[in-house]
Amino acid sequence: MAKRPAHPQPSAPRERRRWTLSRLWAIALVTFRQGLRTRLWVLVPPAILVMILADLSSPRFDPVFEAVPATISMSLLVMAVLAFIVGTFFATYSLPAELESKVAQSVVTKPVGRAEIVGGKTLGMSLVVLLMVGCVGVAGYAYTLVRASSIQSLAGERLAEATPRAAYPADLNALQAVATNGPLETYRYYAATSGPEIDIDVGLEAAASPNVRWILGETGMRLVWSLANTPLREWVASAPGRLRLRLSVTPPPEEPKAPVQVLVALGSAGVELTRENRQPGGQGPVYQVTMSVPPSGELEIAVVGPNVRPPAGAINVPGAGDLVLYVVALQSGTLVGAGPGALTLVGPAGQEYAMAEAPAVASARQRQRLALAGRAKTPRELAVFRFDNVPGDVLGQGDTPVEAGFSLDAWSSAMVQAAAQVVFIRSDGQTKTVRFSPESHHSAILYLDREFWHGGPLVVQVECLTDDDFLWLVPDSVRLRLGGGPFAWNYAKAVLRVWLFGTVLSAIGVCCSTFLSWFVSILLTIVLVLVSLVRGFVLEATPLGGLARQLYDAANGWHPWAGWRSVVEHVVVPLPDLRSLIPAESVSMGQVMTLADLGEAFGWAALSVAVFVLVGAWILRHREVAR
Amino acid sequence: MAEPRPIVTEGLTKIYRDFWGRQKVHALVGLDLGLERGEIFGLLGPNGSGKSTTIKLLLGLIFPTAGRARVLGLTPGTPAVNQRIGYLPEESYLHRFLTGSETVDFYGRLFGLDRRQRRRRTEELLDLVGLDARARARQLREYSKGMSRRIGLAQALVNDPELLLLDEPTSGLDPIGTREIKDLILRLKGQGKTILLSSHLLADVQDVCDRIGILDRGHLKKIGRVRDLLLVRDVFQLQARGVTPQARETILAAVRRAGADIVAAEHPTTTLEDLFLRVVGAEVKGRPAAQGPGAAPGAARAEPGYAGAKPGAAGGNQVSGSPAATDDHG
Repeated sequence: MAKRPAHPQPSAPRERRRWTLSRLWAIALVTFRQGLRTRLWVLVPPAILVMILADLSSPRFDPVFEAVPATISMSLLVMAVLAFIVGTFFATYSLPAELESKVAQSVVTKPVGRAEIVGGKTLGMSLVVLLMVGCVGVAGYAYTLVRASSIQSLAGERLAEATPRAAYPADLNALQAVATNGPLETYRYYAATSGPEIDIDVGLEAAASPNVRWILGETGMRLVWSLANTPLREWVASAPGRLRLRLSVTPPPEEPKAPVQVLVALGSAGVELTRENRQPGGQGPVYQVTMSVPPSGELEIAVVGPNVRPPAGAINVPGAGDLVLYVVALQSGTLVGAGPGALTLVGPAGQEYAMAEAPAVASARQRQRLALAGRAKTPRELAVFRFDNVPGDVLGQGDTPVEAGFSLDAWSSAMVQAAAQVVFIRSDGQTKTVRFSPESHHSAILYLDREFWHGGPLVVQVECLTDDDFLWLVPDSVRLRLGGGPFAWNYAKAVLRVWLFGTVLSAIGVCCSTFLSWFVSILLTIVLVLVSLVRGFVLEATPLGGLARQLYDAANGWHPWAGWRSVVEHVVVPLPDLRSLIPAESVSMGQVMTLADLGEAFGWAALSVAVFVLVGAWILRHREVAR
Repeated sequence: MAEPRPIVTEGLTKIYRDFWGRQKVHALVGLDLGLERGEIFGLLGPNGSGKSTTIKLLLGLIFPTAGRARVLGLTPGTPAVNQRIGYLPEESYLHRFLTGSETVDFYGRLFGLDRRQRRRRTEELLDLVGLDARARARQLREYSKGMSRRIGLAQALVNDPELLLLDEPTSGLDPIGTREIKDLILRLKGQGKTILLSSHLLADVQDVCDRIGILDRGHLKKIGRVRDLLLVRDVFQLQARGVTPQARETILAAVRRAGADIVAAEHPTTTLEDLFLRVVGAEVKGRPAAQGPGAAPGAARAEPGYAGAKPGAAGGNQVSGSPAATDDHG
């Protein structure tokens, strides 16, 4: 009878040995040699051929501006596909093949940890991916140079043809840049450190009242008073009270004698002001009233409790929420302003509560976009972007007038040919004005002479010059675009990003292959990669997303460090953000990938790889290597 | 404190299960085993008897269903144990895309040897197992089975282990290679190493092992010293050289007079291995793949006295009788 010990040993032995780089590197080198000697490199020439043929056969609407970005995009795509193939098929093959052929038995009986095996495999795969992607990258770079050489001369010819007929000289700037410098220029973008802020060019008359906050009619701007800590709701609960307003008004210059109309509304903080219940006499409560402002600017609005039917001209107090009072100017070109002490609350018994502070000014916005209303004459709105982050000598010194590109994205109604004006203001007050025609969903590039600005703080003031038009602005609507350095280095960084993508993919493949056969590993890896690429959708639209959100909140609540959210999003739930590792399309357009971006990608890739290696090592440690 | 025995198993049991966890095969049942330091222990048994399962359990490649094993006093499969043992799998499972030198170098890296140590060790071991310069530069996919066994043995020795687990070490080798490996095993024993050897080539086991255990269908059926287990206690054998026919008759008559039954009275035969080695001995000397230090002793010496040769080579006379008392053969 077999003697059985009282405490059977655990199924998997514990590894107490610390892992070393030399063993990791040994396994990585063997894996790398395996990749080379199984002739994976034969994939490289077809990949290069596919890249060239696909590029040549793709139609280009505008070769001067589209050919090189398309070529770069194509080469990066081919590299990503190659990394995907190697990462998926080879990474999932190596370990199952060794387990099947029992080579793994020879390896694991050496003093090597499972983490070293999985990590070494992943590193070896990564080296294979690097070699192959690097080869295609070099070929892609050479091919791009060849393509670019013909495009520069083409741009020169186009420029000579287009110059006499150009409606807006600014439109030719890009063509000029390609003809002069070639299509391989790279750009570094500087986002505004603040802005857009909507300001008003009020004109001389209104400017004489410095303490007054102004809004402009028909722009969606509002004067806003917070009444949260006032006794208004309490006062009007039993009997009507009043709001006494003293406004400064300036009629539009086109109709100086026209009465100025304003909308006065009571609302709750956080609830967007709408046009509902504008007219009194309806069934429900009335929160808004339209009034003509007399020359004195004095207005009185009756206010009743939430459940009282208001008489004509009166408004209800909302039943819940922090009270807010809005004033909106209703006619285009009308200036309405208010200063400190312009609002007084009057109770039923005549008691008064004066608001000492001036109202805030809120600009119209739709979701995250601010509206810049168009108007040909003063007064008109201005959008101000401030750039305080550009080094003072960013353009260097020299006599040659070098142009710095400005990319301004603006949107306007498709029915209107909008006109816009940009005023660049240096720190010493010197200005330069450029007019252009913004188009919907297109960016325009405006140029500054190097003689005007070498770098340092800059204010960019945008105005829409066409009546009844709007430019919708976000913080990135205006960006400074400066020369970004050598194209080769930027391209190399993009290739490195593809390599990182392949490395993480390899880690997924190796991890899957620690417990599955080759074929099933391939399938699972492909599924995981596809899910990773659409993880945004997964996180938003699935029950898993709900769990992810809870984890986000738990992580954020657990520790105040905001980076937890990012960690959870990128790695832990549920898969690494593979898409973020693939170079953005903007790289193809010449945008410089900053070292910070590259470093961040490295960081996330390393973290993802570490997670998969540890998971794979854990699985491998708890499975039997031999049967 | 006394050093622990190299291998100890207590009730070691392995039951293979299918995907659903149902018991499929009782590969090893309650194995109690203990190896002494410096001995060569042979595990014998037919196919499927549990030899390889035992070795895999001792290496931590598979986990026991019950019982426990200690290797060098430690839990099998841990890096600390693996640092001190060498393992030759039954089929030399190695990376086929590596060359011979790269293979030994790779395993040297896994043991943390530095570049200089690896280079020296690679040279030593490839000389030892008799792989010449040409063979060293070839990928293992081009190796014959014999060469694979040699490179497998080299990787098993890369760390100069104190315990060797050899699974079918002579499998696939020709008689010369077999003798070389057996010689090498004996030399390793001479260096104080403990060796667990699994084989179903009984002659090989008999030649080199101090003790054996016989497994059958997972059960340890017999264990003991080779000499003791093979001893035929009721038969007496005398071998002598230069016996004349008259003397032979006299001896036979004396045996009969003593009341013993003569079972056999004939000239002994040598082993086929001895004959083969004598015939091709000259070529063996000049054979490139057998010129390492490990090959020299066995290959150059094809005469009685070698541990693998049968006592009483051709030319001697042999008389076997059945004496009344044969408890000691001297």
